[in-house]
Amino acid sequence: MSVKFLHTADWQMGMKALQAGHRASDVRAKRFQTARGVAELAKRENVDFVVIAGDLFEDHDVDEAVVRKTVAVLESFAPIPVYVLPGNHDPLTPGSIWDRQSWQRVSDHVHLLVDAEEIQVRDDVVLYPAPLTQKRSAIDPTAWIPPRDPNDKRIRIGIAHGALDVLPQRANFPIAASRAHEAGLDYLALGDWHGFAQYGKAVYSGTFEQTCFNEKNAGNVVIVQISSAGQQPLVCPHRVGELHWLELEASIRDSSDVGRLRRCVLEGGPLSVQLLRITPLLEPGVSPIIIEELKNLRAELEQEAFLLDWPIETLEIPPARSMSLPPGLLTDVATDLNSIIEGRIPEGPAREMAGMSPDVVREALTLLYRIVSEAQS
Amino acid sequence: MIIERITIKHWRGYRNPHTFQFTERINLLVGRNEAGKSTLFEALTRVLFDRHTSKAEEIRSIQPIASSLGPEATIEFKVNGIRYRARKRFLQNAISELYREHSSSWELIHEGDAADAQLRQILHGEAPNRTAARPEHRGLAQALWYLQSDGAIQKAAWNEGVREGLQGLVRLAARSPIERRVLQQLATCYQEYWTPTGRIASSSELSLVIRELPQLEERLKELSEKTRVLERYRADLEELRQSLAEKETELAKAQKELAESSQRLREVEALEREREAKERADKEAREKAERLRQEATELDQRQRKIQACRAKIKELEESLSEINVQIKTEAELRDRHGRRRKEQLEPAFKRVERELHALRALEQSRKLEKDRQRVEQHVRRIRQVEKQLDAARKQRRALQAPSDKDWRRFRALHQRLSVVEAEIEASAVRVAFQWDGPTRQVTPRPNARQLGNEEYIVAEPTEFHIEGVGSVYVRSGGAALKDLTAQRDELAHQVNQLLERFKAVDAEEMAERYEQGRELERIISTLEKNLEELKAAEPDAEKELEGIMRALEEEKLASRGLSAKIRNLTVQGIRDRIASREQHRKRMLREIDTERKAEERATNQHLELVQQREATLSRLAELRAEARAHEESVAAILANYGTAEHLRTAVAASNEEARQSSAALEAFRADYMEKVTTPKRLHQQAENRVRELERQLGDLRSEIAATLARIEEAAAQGNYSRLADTEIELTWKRHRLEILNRRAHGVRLLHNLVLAYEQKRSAALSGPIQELVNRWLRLLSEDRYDALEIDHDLQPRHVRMAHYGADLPIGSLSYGAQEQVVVLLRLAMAVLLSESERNLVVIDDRLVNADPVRMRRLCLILQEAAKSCQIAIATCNDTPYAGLGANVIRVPQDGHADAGT
Repeated sequence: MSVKFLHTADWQMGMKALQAGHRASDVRAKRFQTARGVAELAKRENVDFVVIAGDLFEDHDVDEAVVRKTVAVLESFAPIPVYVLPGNHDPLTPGSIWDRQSWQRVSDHVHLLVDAEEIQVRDDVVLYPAPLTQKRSAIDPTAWIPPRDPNDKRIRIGIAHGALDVLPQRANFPIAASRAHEAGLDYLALGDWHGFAQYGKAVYSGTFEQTCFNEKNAGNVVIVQISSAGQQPLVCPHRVGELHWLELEASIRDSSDVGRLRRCVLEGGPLSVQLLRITPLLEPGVSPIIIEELKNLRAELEQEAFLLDWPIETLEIPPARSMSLPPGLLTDVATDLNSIIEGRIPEGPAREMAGMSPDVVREALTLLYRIVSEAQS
Repeated sequence: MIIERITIKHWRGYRNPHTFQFTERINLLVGRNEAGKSTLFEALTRVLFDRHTSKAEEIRSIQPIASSLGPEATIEFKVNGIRYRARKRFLQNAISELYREHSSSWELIHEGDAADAQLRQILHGEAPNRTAARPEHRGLAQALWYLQSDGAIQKAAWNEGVREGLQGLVRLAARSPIERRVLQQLATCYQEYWTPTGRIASSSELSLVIRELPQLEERLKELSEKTRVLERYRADLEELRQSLAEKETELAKAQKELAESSQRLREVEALEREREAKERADKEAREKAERLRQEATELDQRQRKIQACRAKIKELEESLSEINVQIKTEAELRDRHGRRRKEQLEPAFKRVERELHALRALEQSRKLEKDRQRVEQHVRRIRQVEKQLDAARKQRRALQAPSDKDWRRFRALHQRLSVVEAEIEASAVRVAFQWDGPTRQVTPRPNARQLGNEEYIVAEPTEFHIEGVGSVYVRSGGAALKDLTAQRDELAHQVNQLLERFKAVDAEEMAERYEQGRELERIISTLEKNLEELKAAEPDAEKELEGIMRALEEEKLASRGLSAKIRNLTVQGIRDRIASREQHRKRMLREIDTERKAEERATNQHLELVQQREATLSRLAELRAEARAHEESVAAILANYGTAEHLRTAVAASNEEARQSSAALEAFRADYMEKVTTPKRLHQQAENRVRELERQLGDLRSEIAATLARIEEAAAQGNYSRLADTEIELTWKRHRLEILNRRAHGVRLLHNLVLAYEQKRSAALSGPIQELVNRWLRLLSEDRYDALEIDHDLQPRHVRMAHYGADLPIGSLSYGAQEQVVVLLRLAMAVLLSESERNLVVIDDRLVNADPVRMRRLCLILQEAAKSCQIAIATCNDTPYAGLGANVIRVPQDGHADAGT
């Protein structure tokens, strides 16, 4: 008889969302909304159970309100059983989040997987959880999973949290990529990696809502169907995440560059759910008109986007040797500043300032050009 | 810019229009104090730099007193070869007009605010905000015009406006509007971050961020600390749970041991019961032996005690007899002493005392008698004097003698009367009758004073009736005689009144009464004085006498019992007797005392013996009772055994029995320890161990629950999200600080670099100034000073003393010398600034303190400067400037009233 379940992980409830700046609290709140969406999806898909493969919570110290709200979300999965695996962010340690009274009050359909032992979900479906009992370890937590007995016709599903040894950073809780095969598992539900990835029967669902910039394939849960023991599982990622994190660095010389930048941003979807980190690299000699276009774009994004991380300082006119300055004192000053930037020690009054920080010198030069530009206009 | 003409009206002292012409070279404004010389320069300044609409106090003050007309001035000047006319009126109907000369006519080019702005531009001044123009608004003029309202030398550095003006000297030399705008904008950017003194501006965002960062870091630290506290709780919890697991393991092991030892215990119960039986038997045997021993011992003790009691009783009975005998003896002794004292000694003593008392009374009565006599005599004397005094007073009252006053009056009257009578007599008519025949009787009517036989004084018309003949009428001596007569009558009346009053017949008697009266007064006075003395000598003498009499009576009563012989003794005899009785009395006292003491001793002794007898009797009764008790106990003991010998035999037998029983028990106990005691001890230990472990487990569970509660409570504070928000804010602030710091230092770098270049340029400019000033200074001071040190702000700082090669601060020069140095400096600046165009230099009465020698040298310098500049000098005295060939302008006369502008 087949089994259908929802695999998710790394909810990271209560996360700090430092990269979200002043919208951090909104980002945190969004995760509850998305989690409720996952519950609705599970019901719509009529899954047999739900597996959360670790890092349900960001940290043992998250606020009490976070725990209560998370419990409330898990309550909404009822009557679908939910199996929660402690991960490296929320391991089973004394005084952990699992000891909180608000967690203790969670309903019976939510099962915290505290022991590395076989759990029978149905007569023909068993789970092999590998709960973590500490934050860091170099030991494979799935090592205990016994191999399939030749007479065992049950669907065997492993649940673990760690780094498959095929992944680039596999120092913490390394998991053998061959575990699923060696243990005769029909599916190995993994957590820890925030983007959806499949390595045979070992699958990372990824986090259901991206947590920072540079997370690829995040924002998904996985619906898994296994028809019978030994069969290939049908793995179907579903996009549930709403927020879209986009980091862009764009070289700007003219209007077309500005236009290209605008299109890149809008391709990410509605601005209201976009978290943008933009760094325009102004080419030397870029005209004030282009600067103005960029400023307009910035103003628009600042108003419309969920979050815009685009420092206004990036729109300072870069100093250009080609910009003409009135002869006399101003030219002398600019010459001295350029000399210092280029690593030379100028003669005259600027000699004493040769040791200044290059950033400061560039800032001085930029200011000079800006003021001159304004005076000339 | 040079000035050609000034017309001024309704301006301070210039109520009517006055016009003054200037030449291109040296112009000397000469006038007395308050003639209006400085007012002309004021007008020049106000026209060029002030807003025509200004209502500042300084502008209102130029209006003439009691005038409402607007002060007005018109200046004609030349700039770059073009002639201009500026007309400005303030306050009432304010106007501002700027004209340019074009084809010999004046063309209005600006008016109002535009004219104001354009005029300011000429010398590159700045618009004042709401005040009147100050030196910092005058542009070049603040350096070239040395006005009376300026101090000799700036005490502090040039303020910002002035410095910018001086810097403006540099900028003006650069003459680049873009450069000027850039530098202005740079100054604005600089002020966004820095104060003029190079500190971060407290109102800047940078300062705000710098202030906020530590607070955020502190908050982060606090929140992080709370997180660490939570970690510590968890670490504690882990330890506790580990300890709990260990204790539970230990408890399981201890419980297993307890179960095993319980099993072993059940096996040793039989041995326990046998041991108990043997112990009971042994105990009974020993108790029995002990009891018999005790009874035997008691029997012996009691018999010994009975014998002791009987011996003691015998002894006490003997003692009691002796005591009784002693009691009797002491009682007799006591009685004997008592009788002698009471019956013999004390009565005799009383008799002696009575005699002594009487003798003393007798002695006292003798003394009192003397006092009585003395006091009585004194009292008699007083009474006598009182009596005499009364008599004298009575006599005095009866005498009716005139007082001293009466007597003086009487004498005066009497004397006057005599005088008047004498006068009358002298004035009166004497009538004498001489009869040839028989004497006839003459009767004067009124009665006339008869001097002798048949001679009368007639003081008034008098009729002499001669018997048998008729009457002769004699008239008196006229009016004067009448007056005298009247006086005499009056006086006689008064005299008679006095005589009547004191019942004297005549003056002689009156005198006699007076003398008597005086004599009595003397007697009374003497008696009063005597009485006073007597009373003072013995106040209350009568009372004292009474007291003496009473005391005397009492003493007599007291001495009544003495014999007549004794009563007749002299005082000395009495005293001797008293002394003798005193000695006797003392002897008797001693004897009585001796007897009393003997009696007391005997009494005390008797009492002691009685008490001793009582005690002995009491002790005897006790001993007898005790002996009886012991005998009864002995009888009770022997009732069970018959005789003492039987009892001893029973004791020996029970001792043997007990010994045997103990030996048997000891033998049983030899291996009892191993079979029973040790397992029991081990079982008890196991029980204790289990209880202890259970208690420890309970404590651990409590502590775990408490730690969990603490973790719960700490987690409920919501610190995690606050920590996250704080980290976010801190990150942002640090990023912002980095940007602001970079900007602030960038603008400061740019600012300082620009400043350095400007200073370099101004130094370049100040070089030629320095050279010119130094040459002039040497000339002026006759080489006393050979250099003036100017700083980069073109401020004079030191003069160098050539002889000593030392620098002297400007401030240490005399006021006049300071002014002269500043004049040289401004002239040098003017010369250099006038290379392309002549500029006006104003020296408003700043050389008054120059001595004649210096004045001559100054004139040489002025002449040299005048080759490049227009110079206007205000002075009260034009004599020192005689050799200059200056255009002398008399103020205010030369500025004659103009018909109109």
